[in-house]
Amino acid sequence: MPETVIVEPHEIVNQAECDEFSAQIREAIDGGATRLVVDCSRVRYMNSRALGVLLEAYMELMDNNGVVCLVAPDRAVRLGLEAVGLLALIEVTDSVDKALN
Amino acid sequence: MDRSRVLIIESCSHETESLSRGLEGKVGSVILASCAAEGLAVVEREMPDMILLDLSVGFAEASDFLHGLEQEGADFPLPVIVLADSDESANELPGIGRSEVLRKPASRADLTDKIEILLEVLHLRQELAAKNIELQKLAGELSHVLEMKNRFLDLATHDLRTPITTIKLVHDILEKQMLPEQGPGLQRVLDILARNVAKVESKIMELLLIARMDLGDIKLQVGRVELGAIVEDAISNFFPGAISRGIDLDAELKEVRPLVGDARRIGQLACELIACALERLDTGGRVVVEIREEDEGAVIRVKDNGPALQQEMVRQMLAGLENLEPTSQTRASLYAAYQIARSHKGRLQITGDADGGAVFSAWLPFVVEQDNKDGEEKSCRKP
Repeated sequence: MPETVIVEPHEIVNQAECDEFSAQIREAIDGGATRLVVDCSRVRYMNSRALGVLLEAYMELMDNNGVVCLVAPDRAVRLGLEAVGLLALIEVTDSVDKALN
Repeated sequence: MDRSRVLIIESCSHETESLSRGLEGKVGSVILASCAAEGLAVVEREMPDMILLDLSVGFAEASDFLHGLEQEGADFPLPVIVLADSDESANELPGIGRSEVLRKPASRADLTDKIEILLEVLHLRQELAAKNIELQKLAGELSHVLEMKNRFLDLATHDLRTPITTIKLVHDILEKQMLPEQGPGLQRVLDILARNVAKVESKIMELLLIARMDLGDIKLQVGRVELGAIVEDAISNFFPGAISRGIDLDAELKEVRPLVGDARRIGQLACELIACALERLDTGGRVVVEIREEDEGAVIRVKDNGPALQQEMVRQMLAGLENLEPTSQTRASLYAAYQIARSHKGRLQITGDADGGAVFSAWLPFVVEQDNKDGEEKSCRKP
């Protein structure tokens, strides 16, 4: 597993899509990723559980000096990140290229 | 009384002079007139405080005077004492019911007493009117202050709710992530944190309840409302709590044309519906927030997969929403949602879902009927 993993969630991450998203994140962390890039450029909504997954991913990676980076989260996703206190803690960029560099 | 002015209308100069000498100094200054026209001119020019009309000027003159006085249309009817030989001679005068009649010969003492009493009544009426104006002004200021208080209470309590749920979420994370390594010292700290957060949360919920109780008289700040953005904001308030409780808070937000309404109140309405649904779940479960267009308006629909909702429970929830009886937070939320929907000429609905669970929904028309001329603010009072 490479150190940097890019995850691309669905446009709407509700209950049905959240299991897949959670599995992708888990696979990346368990595989030893230290830089998790979540490409939110297509995402219009992330439900509470998906935000919880991001929060746990941040906590786990932080313990291992890892990083979570979100790419181009839109308004609704930003609101969710802010509500759970993550917006101030994680990296946010406007493109995948910038996230990889 | 020293500054009072009495107009005496009397034709007999000897008697007039005598009357005026006796009254001046006792009741204030005296102005003399000998006929109706002169009397009316004095009223318009000098604005006396009361009038003494002696019927010795003749019935016709007296009638003309009293009729002319009525035409003046003063703020307060001037007190008039009619001096007459008999009650019968005075009874036919216009507006005599509003005047005092004293039969001649009237003693100076009786006359003075009567004048003093009438002047006192006049002064009290004027004082009462002035106090009334002052009271109305104070009532207006109080109403404005109350409105400001309500707005602050509303905003502050809603804004405080989100950080509190975020703190609780962080507390849960700390407990799970750090406690196994840090041990009992951290546990004590976290327990103190949890207790104090619970206290603050309880106070906030009480404030929210008080803020909702004032919703019986909603003044709307009407403008263009993008419902999608409003509902996204509303949902975000509940993310921390939903994460803590393992609840899937989902959204299906279709494109909806802009509404005309009070954005803040509509946001509050969405929050109340979501709160109702979440209240029905313990841990786990799912709440779906949906918006769509329907019947020349938009619907905000919140569905949960909690216990099945029976008809009787729906009836109890909806009963008496005209007046708040705060038996529970759900009831307070429903009351607030009902008042806001109603103030927008919308509707609130609660139904049990076929798959179990409950649906709380509000329909709002695209355009709210304007009550006032400038169209910016509309008030809706409880019946």
